[in-house]
Amino acid sequence: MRGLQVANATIRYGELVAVDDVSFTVAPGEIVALLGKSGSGKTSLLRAVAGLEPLADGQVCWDGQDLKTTPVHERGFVVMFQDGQLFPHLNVAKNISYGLSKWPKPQRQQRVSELLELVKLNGHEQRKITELSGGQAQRVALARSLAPKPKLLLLDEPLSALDRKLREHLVAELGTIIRATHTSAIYVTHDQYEAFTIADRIAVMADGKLLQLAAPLELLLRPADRAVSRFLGQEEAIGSS
Amino acid sequence: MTSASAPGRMAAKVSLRTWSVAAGVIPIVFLATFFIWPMLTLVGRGFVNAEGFTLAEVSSVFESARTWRILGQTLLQASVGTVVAVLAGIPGAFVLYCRSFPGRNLVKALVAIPFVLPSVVVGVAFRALINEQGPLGFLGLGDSFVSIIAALVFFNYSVVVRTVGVLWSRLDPRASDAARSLGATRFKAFITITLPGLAPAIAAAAALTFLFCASAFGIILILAPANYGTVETEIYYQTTQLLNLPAAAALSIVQLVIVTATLIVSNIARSRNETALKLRSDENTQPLRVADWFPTTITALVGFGLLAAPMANLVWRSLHTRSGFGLGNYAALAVVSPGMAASVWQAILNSLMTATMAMGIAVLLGIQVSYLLSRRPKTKSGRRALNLLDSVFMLPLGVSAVTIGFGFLITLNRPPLDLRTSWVLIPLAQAMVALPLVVRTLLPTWRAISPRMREAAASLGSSPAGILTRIDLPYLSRGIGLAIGFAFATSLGEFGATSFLARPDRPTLPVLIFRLISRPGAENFGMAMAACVVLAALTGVIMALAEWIGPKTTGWV
Amino acid sequence: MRKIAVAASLLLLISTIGCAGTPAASPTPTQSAGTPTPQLSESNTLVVISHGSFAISDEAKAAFAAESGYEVSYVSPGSAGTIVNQLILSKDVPLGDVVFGIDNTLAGRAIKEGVLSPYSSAALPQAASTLAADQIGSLTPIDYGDVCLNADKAWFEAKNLPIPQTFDDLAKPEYKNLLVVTNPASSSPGLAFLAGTIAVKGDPDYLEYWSALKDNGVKVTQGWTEAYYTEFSGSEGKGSRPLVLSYASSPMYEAGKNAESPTQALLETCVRQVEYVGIIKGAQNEVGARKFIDFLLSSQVQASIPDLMYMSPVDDQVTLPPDWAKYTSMVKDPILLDATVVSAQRDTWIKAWTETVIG
Repeated sequence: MRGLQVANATIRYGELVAVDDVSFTVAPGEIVALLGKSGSGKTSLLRAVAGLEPLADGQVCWDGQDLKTTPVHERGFVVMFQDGQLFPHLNVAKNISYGLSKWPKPQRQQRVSELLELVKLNGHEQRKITELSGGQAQRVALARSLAPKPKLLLLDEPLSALDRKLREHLVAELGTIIRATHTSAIYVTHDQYEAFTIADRIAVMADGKLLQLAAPLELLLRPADRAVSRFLGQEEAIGSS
Repeated sequence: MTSASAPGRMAAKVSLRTWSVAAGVIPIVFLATFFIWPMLTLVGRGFVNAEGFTLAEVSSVFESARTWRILGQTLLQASVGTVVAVLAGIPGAFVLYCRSFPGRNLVKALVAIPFVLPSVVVGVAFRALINEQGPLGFLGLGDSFVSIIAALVFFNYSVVVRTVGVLWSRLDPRASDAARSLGATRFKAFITITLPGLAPAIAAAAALTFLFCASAFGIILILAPANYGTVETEIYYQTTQLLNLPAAAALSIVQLVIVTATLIVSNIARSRNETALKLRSDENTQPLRVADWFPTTITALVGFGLLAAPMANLVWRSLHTRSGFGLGNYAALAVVSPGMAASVWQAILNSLMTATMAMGIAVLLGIQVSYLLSRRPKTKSGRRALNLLDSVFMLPLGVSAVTIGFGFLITLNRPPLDLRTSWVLIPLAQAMVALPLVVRTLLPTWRAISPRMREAAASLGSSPAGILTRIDLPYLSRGIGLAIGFAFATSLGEFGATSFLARPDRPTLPVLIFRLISRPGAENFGMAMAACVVLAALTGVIMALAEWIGPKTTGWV
Repeated sequence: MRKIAVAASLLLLISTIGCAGTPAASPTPTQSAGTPTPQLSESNTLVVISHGSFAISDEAKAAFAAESGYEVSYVSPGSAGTIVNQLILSKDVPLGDVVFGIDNTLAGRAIKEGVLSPYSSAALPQAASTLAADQIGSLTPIDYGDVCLNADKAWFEAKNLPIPQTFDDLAKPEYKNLLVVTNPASSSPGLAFLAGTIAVKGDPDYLEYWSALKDNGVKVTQGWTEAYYTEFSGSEGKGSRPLVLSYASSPMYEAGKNAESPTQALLETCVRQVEYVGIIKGAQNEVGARKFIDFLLSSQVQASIPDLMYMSPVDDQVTLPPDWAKYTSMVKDPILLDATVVSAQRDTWIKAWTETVIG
């Protein structure tokens, strides 16, 4: 079995069960969205895949190999956070090349300009992080995440700090870029529009449980139970903003 | 903004100005009268001889090899002490402020105790530990530079832990998570991402620690070999023993330069690294995990080896009486032992009374000074002036109590300011020592109040007094608990300045401890140890209360 | 607008500094210095300056206050050496009325600098006249003590080594690395002891003696506390050295109730330290200062000195506590110091000693 397999993942914070016996897979080149309200456990699950959160029970495997003893930095899974978490004391180029420290210098420089081109920020190498707009910052964060050619890209609400219009524009672009690099990805979001735009398959989560995992169209046409349909319907009724 | 609010804004600005002036003038007059004037007058005396003004005598001090050796020893001791305290304190900051575990608040309070213990007793406790016969005698550290550094770290550990820890608990850990996922090891992520984020706090903590280490006095006398001297001990010797005023002047100038240079370096380091840090408004603590074994081990080693061992030794010795182990020394605290003029309990009462007054003065002035320093003037000259003011209020940390004590004699000697033999000077002197810490503690709180908030309140019709009571004071109450705690504990343990003004019939606790330990016999020694344990316990309780009252978001920044 | 606030603050600061830079206008002294005043000053307050070890009982204090009608305040601005320098520095505007605790290593300096007014108290006992600091009564002796080396008896017994007796013994190889003394630059017993060795060995031969002590491993601490409580093996600290510089009376405090002391003083190394009281020149209350000196010489205060100040009273007629008498009377022939010589030579001695011993 190739790609990511999560089996019976359970995460506890003291008494609270944040993620309850969740299993799913991500095939090579596939984008899976984890969709759910805040507190549904989707971010915890993402962090556990990255190795940032210990599992109380269950397994995270890559290509059939259990990653239990593999520390975060050796997994080759890159996390991109909501507000990018760009390093404020480094400029754009140094942020992007942060994961390339083992690369020879000429290749590193080339990779940085390659990625800046990919995210349409050519020539911004020397810019300070503080001088970037919100949209630009997220593009740099994406470039930084893709630079070391990760096995798996983990996106944690990458656009939710931006305004609606920019978000709609960027989510499509994000999908194009990720697919262009053939990177597998997990995309955590509370926004249905984003999930339906970017994902090959969507996992709907509530209260730490995985309710349904299916392709977008199937999810709309054949919701597994009332909870899923209520979740999807409610989201639409409120209008995600 | 609508036109209707314009007069409101005007009113807000006018009130700000008056408030700023008042806030500035009172503390400056206080500092000028009780610190700067005495200090400069004494320094001035060094430039006057029988023929009048002369540079010759002061400059000859700088021609002596002894001066440079002493300066070198001072700087070396302070640099090494600061580096070790920072290295030891950073893991402690992480464990005590970013991780939760049962008894964490207790440990925080315990860690703060050494900071206020009398250096004489700590010196004796340290020396007893490392002497040839002592429990750590096998290390062969008696009379060594290592033992001085260990003692300096003992005193200043909590300064680093608190200052760095408070910022760290509010740093977003996801920046370092991102770095980890990009292939950085825990260590690399710490060095390249977390450390730069902590730089402002580290710079502030290092500056304070450096000043404390450079001006250490009692601990040097007890632990250092006889040929070792620092600027502080040399000022003491030249002034009190030889009345060599040119030397006192030259060395005091050296101290002024050290303080100023330290603050300049610290400010540069701070501003260079103050790059739009993303701070969380809430504290970020997670349960302690196995993965935190490295900082936890370091913290435990420092905590037990360096902090707890001397304190445990104090407790152990306080229980040791002529007739074996027991509470005899504690029972004796209620008795006025011959020649002591007061029992330890009476001395505690004296200490509590003077410390309360000193705390009142320091906190009142500290509120005003920190308010003024929290302003952000628009002009460059305005900012420079504030930076200067900031340094001036830090001076009491780095300038010798001897200089001030002797300066008092030749300045505050005429009515209505003839306070030289008045007890009033004791709380005043203690307040001056506590003031820099109060200012450091309150500054972040003031900075958290946006000027827009005051302007908004004014435009909604609040009078200046209304703004003060409804905006400023509620905010301030968040930082005030800790400021009170620090001021109180610092005054309680203050010895240097107090020893120049002590009253034989009404000793404070540190003064009484010093007297007890200056006399032979198991009873006197045991009581000194017991009294010291009481002082430590008192300090621990005060600091625990301050932690409990105060918010967890204040540090010396 | 804030600029104004800042500017105002700065202006104030600068003007303060400016004021400090120029010498303050000298006051018109109440009495012209130098010429003796026929009329003694008096006021209803009396300020007593002393070192921290000064102690008299509350009852005695209350009795003096009631009898004299003065409001008496006691201030202790440091060690005796510090106080002498403070008096010199504040000559123009005296710190108080009467000063207690100047000893015979400091007396010469205080007299020479002219910070004292002479007074010959009728209450001074005959026995004390040999302790006078000068001929005109600039200072009045109140008490004395003997600075002596102390030995840990058990240590020497265990090693089967005789306890050393003389200064010369200390330089012998069998006593290598056994002695700890205090630095004369920072400690008053240390200075008394140095002066004692000079009185015995002579100047400059004492340096040769000290260099022999150094070769024999003498240890120097800055103060008495560290020497006694951390280096000395015979007291609480359980240090490693069985010989320490302390007082003739110290063994008494190691003895406990009715027990034999585990330590003893080396009687041939004792140097007598005399403590004086004096009237500060320009005192606001010279009458009161004189009364206070008489009061310190009263048998009530004199008798309480051993208990309260750990010294012997100058009045040999008062009854001493039995233990005290036992330990201190052993010192038959202490080394006496010439106050004038000591203060004239002090700085030179300390400098030479530091070069020889500390390096």
